[in-house]
Amino acid sequence: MKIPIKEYILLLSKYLKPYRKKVIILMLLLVVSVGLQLINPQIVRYFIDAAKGGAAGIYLTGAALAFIGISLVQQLFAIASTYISQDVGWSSTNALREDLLKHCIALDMSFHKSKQPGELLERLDGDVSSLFNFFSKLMFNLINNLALLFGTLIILFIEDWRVGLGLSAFALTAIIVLIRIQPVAVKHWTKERETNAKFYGFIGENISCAEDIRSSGAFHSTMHKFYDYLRKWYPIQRNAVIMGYAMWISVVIIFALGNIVAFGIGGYLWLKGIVTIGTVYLIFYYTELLNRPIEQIRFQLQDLQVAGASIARVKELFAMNSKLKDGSDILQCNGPISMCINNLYFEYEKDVPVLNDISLELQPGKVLGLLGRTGSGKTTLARLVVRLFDPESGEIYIDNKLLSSIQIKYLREHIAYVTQDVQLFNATIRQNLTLFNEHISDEAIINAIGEIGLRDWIASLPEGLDTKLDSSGGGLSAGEAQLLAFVRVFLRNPSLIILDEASSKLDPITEQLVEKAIDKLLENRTCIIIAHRISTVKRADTILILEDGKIAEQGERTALAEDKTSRFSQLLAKGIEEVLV
Amino acid sequence: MTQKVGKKKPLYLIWRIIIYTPFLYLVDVIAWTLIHTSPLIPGLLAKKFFDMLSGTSDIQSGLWGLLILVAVTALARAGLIYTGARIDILFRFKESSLIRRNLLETLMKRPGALPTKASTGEILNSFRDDARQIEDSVDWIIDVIGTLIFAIVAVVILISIDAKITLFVFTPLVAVIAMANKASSRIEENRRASRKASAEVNGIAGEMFNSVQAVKILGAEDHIINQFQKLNNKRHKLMLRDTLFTQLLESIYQNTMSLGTGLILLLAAQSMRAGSFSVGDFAVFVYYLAFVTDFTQFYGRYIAHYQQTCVAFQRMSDLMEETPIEKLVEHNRLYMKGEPPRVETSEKIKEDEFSSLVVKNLTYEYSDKGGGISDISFYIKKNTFTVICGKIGSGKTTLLRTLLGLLPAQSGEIIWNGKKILEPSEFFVYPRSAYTSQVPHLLSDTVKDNILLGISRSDVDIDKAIYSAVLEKDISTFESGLETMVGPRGVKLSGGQVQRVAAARMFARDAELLVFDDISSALDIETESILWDRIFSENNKTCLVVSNRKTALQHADHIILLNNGRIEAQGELKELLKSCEGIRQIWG
Repeated sequence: MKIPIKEYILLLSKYLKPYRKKVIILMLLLVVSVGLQLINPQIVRYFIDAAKGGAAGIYLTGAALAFIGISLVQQLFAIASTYISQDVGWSSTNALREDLLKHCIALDMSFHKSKQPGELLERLDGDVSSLFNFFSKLMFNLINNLALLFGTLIILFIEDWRVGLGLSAFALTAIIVLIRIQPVAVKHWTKERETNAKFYGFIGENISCAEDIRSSGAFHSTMHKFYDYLRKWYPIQRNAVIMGYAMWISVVIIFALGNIVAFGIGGYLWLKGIVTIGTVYLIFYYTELLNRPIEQIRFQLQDLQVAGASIARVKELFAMNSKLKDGSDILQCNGPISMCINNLYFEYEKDVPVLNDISLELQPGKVLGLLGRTGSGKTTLARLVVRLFDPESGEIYIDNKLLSSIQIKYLREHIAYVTQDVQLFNATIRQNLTLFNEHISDEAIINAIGEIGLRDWIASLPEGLDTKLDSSGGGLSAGEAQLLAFVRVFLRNPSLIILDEASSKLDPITEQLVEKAIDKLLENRTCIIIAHRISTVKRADTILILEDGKIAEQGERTALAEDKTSRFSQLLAKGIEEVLV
Repeated sequence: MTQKVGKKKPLYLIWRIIIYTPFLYLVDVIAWTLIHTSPLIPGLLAKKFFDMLSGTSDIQSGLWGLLILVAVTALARAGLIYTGARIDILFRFKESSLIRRNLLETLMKRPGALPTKASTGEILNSFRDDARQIEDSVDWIIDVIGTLIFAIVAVVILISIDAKITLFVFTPLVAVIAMANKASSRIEENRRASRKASAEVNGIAGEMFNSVQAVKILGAEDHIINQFQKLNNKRHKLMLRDTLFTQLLESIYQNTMSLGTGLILLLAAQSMRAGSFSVGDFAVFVYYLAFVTDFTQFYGRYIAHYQQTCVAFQRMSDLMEETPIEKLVEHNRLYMKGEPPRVETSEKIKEDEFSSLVVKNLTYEYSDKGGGISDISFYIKKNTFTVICGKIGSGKTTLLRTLLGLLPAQSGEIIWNGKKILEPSEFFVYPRSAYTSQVPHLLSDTVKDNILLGISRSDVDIDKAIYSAVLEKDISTFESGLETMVGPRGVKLSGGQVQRVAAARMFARDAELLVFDDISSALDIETESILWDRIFSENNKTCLVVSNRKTALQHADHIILLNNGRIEAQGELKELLKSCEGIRQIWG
C-alpha cells in the first residue's frame, strides 16, 4: 500500500504544532475511552457465568448497572474528543487554506491564465476539505481504533493463547487484504476528482458567459457539451465508487471469517472443558468488538486515499514556483521616478515575439504616450512594467534600479496600472475601492471620490459606501466602473502611473471630468498613457508607436507632430480628418 | 420575489426524482432491502451456536455445518452488495445529473444580463454540494426502507423469544426518535449558518481567482487574505457549533445500544438464572439490537438530513429566482448512451424576414441602485442604421438589454413585423437577431468554436464574418489559426481581439437584425475605421448600435439620444445638430 506517510507527517507536524496541548488532551481522552470499552465485555462474561451459577440477584443487577454506567461515561468522552478534534481540524486546515491562497496569489500570471478559477477553488476548498477529515477525525480515530485492536488482542492472549493466536491471525489477514485493495482505489479516485474539477470549471465558465451564450443562441450547444461531460464522467465515477464497495464486500467476508474462527475455537475449548460458556461469549463479544475497528479502519483508509489524492494535489500546487523571483531592494520615493527600458524582448508562446527589442527612457515627471493597433504589444509592455511577467531578455529600470531586484510589494505600492477592463468584486463599494484594506478611512474615500466628481453619485445610493456591487458590476455602466478605478488610484500615492485606454469608454462630458482628474493625478508623477485615440495623448511629452511588437516610431511629441512624414502626424491627420468631414 | 420552498414541497420533489427512473429505483430498493435484511441470518446462527453449547445434541458435526452456513451466508451477501452497488451508482448519477442539468438550463435561460444574486463560487457550491445533498436524500430512503424491514422482522423474532424483554428494551428507542424530531429544527438553523459561512469563504476566494490580475496590480493581496482569514474564522466557529450539536444527537443514538444491552442484562437476570432465557437468546438479542438501533440512528439522521435537504432546495430555488422549483426535477433526457441529437439552428423562414420593429413605452428600472430606462419608444425600418447615443449612465446598454430580453422589461411593448413579442429573450436570437455586448466573454475553446458558438460551420461563411470583424490579420498570426485555443488553457487575447471575436460571432450569424453595444470601445483608431467601413459597405443589414462615435453618427439613418433613461431627442443627425444641445455636446 502506498500511503505517502512521510508527506502526511510533514503536513501534520507543521499545522498541528500550535495545538500541541489540545492534541495531548485528546490522546488522554482516547486512552481512557479505549480502556472503558475493553472492560465492558468482562462484565458481560461475569454476568453470564454468575447467572448460570445461580448467583444472587443483587450481583447480577449490579453488573448490569455497571455496564450501563461505563457506557454513559464512555459517550461523554466521545463527545469531548469529537469537539476537540474538530476544533483542531478547523484551526489547522484554515491555516492551510490561508497558506495555499497566499501561495496562489503569489504565483505569476502565466500560472493563473492556465487555470480556471473554478478549478483552483476546487483545490482550495474541495481538496482542503477532504484534508479536514484527515485532520479532525481520521488521525484520532485511526489511533483510537488501533489501540482498541491491540488492547483486545492482548486481552484475548491473556484469556487463552489459542484464542489470542487465532484472532490475531484473523485480524492480520483482514488488514492485509484491505490494504491490498487500497492503491487501486486511489488511482480511480484521483481520476474522478480531476474529471469533477473540469466539470465544475465548465459549469462556472458557462454561467459567467450566460449573456453571450444566450444572445448567440448557443444554449443548445452548451447543453450538448454538458451531456458530453456526463457521458465521460459516469464510467469514471462508477469505477471509483465501486472500489469503495469492494472494500465493504471484503469486510463482509472477513467478518464471517472472524465469526468462524471465534465459533470454532470457542466451541473447541468448551468441548475440551477448558472454558466456561461465559468465556465463549466473551470471545464472541471481543470478536465483534474487533470488527468495529477493522471496519472503521476500512472507512478511514478510504478517507486516507481521498486525503492522499488531495495531499498530492495540494503539494503539487505548493511545489509550483512563481517564475518571478521577488527582489530584495526597497523602493522609496516621494515624487516622480524615472523609468528606462533596454532592448526588451518578450513572448507568451515560444518563438512568437510580442515585444521585440524595445528601448525607451522616461524622465521623472514626464508623460509617455504609447500608441499602436490592437495586439501591437502595448498592454504587454504595461504588464512587464508592473512585473506581471518577466521579459525573455532586456532590462527595465525604475528609479535606476533593476525592476527584478525590487521587492514586488514596493512596486505595487509605487506603480499604479489602470487596465482596460475594470475588475469589480462582489462586495461593497467601500471594499471595491479600498480592496478590503480596512485602514483607509471613510473620509479619505469620500475625498478621493470627490476629486473624481462622483460625490453626488455616491450620495444618491441608498446605502452609500455600503452599497453592494454584484459580481457582474450590474447596474454600473462601464464608465462608472472606470471612474471607480480612478478612485482606487487616488487612494494610493503612486509615483508612476500607467493608464491603459482609461478614457476610451467615457462619453465626452464625463471625459472632461476625468481629464481634469487626470491633470491632478499627473502632477508630480511619471506617466505612461496607452491610448488608441489621439486626443488622449495630447498630454504626452514623448510618443512611442508600436507595431507588431516593434518600435515603429519614437520621439518628442511636438517634433513628431511637426514632421509631416512621421507616422504620428499621419495619425494626427486622420484624427483631424474625422473632425473635419 | 423568491419562493419559499418549505418543509413539505421537498417530499414532492423527491418523489418526482424517484419516478424519473421508476424501474431502476424499484430494483435498487429490492436489492438493498435484501442487503439490509441479510444480517438476520448470522444472528440466528449465533443463537444456534450458543444453544448448541448449552444443549445435548451432537455438537461436533453440528458445529461444522454451522461454520459452513456462516461462510455461505457471507458469500451470498457479498454478491448482493456488488449487484446493489452497480444499480445504486447508476441511479445516483442519473438523479443528481438531472438536477444539475435542470439547474444549468434554468440559469442559462434566465435574463442573461440580470446580475445573479450569488457569486460564481456560490453557484458552483449549489451545483456540487446541494445537488449531492438531494442525491443522498433520495437515495437514503432506500436504506431507511431496508433497515426498517430488517427491524420489523428482527423485532418479530425477538418477541417470539421473549415479548416482555423486547418491549422494555425497545421502548427507549421510540423516545430517541421523538427527541431527534424535536432537536431537528436546531440542526437546520445551525446548518444554514455554517453553509452560508462556507459560501462566503468560497465567494471571496472565487472573486480573488477571478480577478487575480487586478488583485496583483492593485497590491491587494494582504487585504484579501485578511478578509479570507476573517471569514474562515467565522466558518470555524459556526461549523464547530453545527458538528457539536450533531455529535450530541449521534451520541444519544449510540448510547441506546449500550443502554439496550444493559437493560437486557437487567431484565434477563431472573429468567437466565431460571434457565428460561438461554445464552443463545441473549446473543441474538444483543446481535439484533445493534442493527435495530442502526435503523433508529439512520432514521434520526435521515430526519436531520432532510432538514438540510430543505435548505439545499431553498438555496437552489433562490438561484432559480422566478422559475418554479418544480423545474429542478423536470424529467428530461440525459443522453448518457450515445450523442444527443444536434439541435439545428432554425432555418430562416419567411416570417422571420425583417420588415419593421416598433418599441413602445419600454421601461426597466433597477430596483436597488436606481437608474434604468423608462418610457422608451422608437421605430426601426428595414436596412437602416440606428444609433443610440447619450452620456455615460444614460441607459444605452440597459435599453439594448431590455429590448433583447436580457433584462425583463417592466412594461412596454415590442412589436416585430406587426406582431407583439411576448418573450423577447426567446425571440431575439439567431436567425432573427445577433448581439455583441460591450464587454463580451469568450469560452475556453477554439477561436472557431467561439465564433460559431453552437451553429454548424456549413451554415456560415466564417471567412466573411472574420473579414467583417477585421480579425483576419490577428488570426493569421495565431499558431493554429482558427483552431487556436483561447482562454485559460490557450492564448491570451487582448481586449480588442476579444471584442472583434465577439463581433465575428455576430456577423457569422447573418441575422436579420444586428445589435451591438459600443463595439469599438477597445479598438484603436485604424482598426475602428476599417471596422466601420466594412460594416457600412453592406447595405442590406439592419443595425441597432450603441455608440457615441462620430463615424457611427454620420452614417446613422436614425439617432436616439438618451438622457437619464429617457429619450431626449431622436431623428436625423442634421436636424438634431440644429435643434439639440445634447447631440452637439456628443458631436464635440
